[in-house]
Amino acid sequence: MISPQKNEDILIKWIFGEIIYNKHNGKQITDQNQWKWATNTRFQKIMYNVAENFDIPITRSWYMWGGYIHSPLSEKIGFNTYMKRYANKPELVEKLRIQIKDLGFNTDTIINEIIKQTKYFTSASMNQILPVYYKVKTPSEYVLLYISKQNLNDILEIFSENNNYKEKKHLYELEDNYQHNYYIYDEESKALLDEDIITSTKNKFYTLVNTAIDKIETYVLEEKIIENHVLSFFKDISNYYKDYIWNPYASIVSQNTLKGPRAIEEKKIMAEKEYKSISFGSSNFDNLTIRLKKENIEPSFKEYKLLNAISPLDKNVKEMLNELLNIYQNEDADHE
Amino acid sequence: MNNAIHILDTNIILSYASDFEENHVDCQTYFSLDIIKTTCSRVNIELGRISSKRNKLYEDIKRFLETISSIEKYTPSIPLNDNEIKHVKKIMPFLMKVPMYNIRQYLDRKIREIQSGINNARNMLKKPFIGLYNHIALETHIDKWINNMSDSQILSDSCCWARETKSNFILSTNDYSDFINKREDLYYCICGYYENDYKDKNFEILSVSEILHK
Repeated sequence: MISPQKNEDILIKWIFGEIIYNKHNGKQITDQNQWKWATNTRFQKIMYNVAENFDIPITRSWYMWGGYIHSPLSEKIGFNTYMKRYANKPELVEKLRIQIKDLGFNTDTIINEIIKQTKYFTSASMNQILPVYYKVKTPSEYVLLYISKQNLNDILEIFSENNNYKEKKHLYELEDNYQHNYYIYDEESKALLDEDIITSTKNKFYTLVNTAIDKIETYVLEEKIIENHVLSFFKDISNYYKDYIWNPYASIVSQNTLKGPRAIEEKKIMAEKEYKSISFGSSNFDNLTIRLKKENIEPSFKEYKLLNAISPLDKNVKEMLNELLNIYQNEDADHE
Repeated sequence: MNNAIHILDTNIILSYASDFEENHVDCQTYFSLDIIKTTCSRVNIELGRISSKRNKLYEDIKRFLETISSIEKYTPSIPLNDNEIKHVKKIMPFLMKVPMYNIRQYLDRKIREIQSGINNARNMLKKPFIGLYNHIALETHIDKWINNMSDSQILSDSCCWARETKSNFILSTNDYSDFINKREDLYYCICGYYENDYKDKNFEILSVSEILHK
């Protein structure tokens, strides 16, 4: 008798292998250029949906990018190793298929679903697919969180790539979009975890990104091409966002949605990931701040005055907000 | 005047950094003057505290707008007097039509502008006493003086004052009453600094505007 763990291992490898097998019609593929479609994110989604639709006993949860399979095949090394193995030797997949049939699964029906899911997830770029996928597939209580986090991710990538805004309004739209999505993300993530360390890191991150966006605005106002070091700073911001601003919450969602044979063990692993990403996020933040100052990405006092003066906010609203700040400012000075 | 040492109080630096203050423009001009400006450690600590407490404002506004149906229950997260609370409550309903994320962005940038101004002002400060005088001794005296007077601080309208002694010693502050009430303290502080019996008590009190146009 096969143990449930061994059983799960065979099932994961089989579904993984069938994705490659069917995409290339059972042919042997040795040229890695032909695998360009095969990304880890795509495989996770396909495998997760297949497991969900047939209630296949595979340990899975809703994690960083949506559906996630808890297996070494989801890690970079495991993914590359098995990708190469099954692409080079399609007969290994055929052998697995026989084993799965023997376990009592209706392989033909499942293969049809694998083909259908593969077709869908390779029909466009993941950037195009993910927003729709999140709307439809995310567990209802996390829909807003996933949509806003994906929008933030995309906006930060645009900031890291676009060195020239032909029209100022494009930058303002992007900025407004960022602010809007960050607000939703902040509110939704607070509902999951509202502890001082992560809140403080998130607040500092919010201010840091705004500072860098303000710097971009100064380039646009002066009609200058945005320098590479500013774009590269946004790349680092984007990575930091994924690792330390998003990962802690994604780890919590994963713990809440884990199911399958190894759910209990995996919950412990994800709790550890949550803890580590929160503490490393706090300690690694200083590197970004140092870079901001060292590379002169922070606008000058003069530039800030100009930016606030031309802020699209209504003049009366600005005056009211200034009055509020003034009250708090005097109060600070008076009571300290 | 050009040789005088100006010792700046917190509000001078804030007035330079923040355009809420009536004398903001004067303070900006004052900072552009080629004069020796310095400050004491207590002022630096106070500026740090002011910066860190501002973030509470956004949370306060958000909390207020979320519970707008029960305005009377609103309590600010830092101590405000009755008039200020009334003023805050009057302003908040007008902000309801503005998306919170726009409010947050504006406040965040405004706070950074003020912080940048404070940093700018700090960068313009010098430590003229090192090598010339005993800097630590002076700072201790000034700290002591400011600490002594803090209990009776009364903030006047935003008017910037400076006091000049015949020995080219100027202390800039917004609070005229400090000088009136603590005249003797300041005098003894300066006497201690110069380690002699400084007999000339004929201090001159000047506003920043007077300094600028003298």
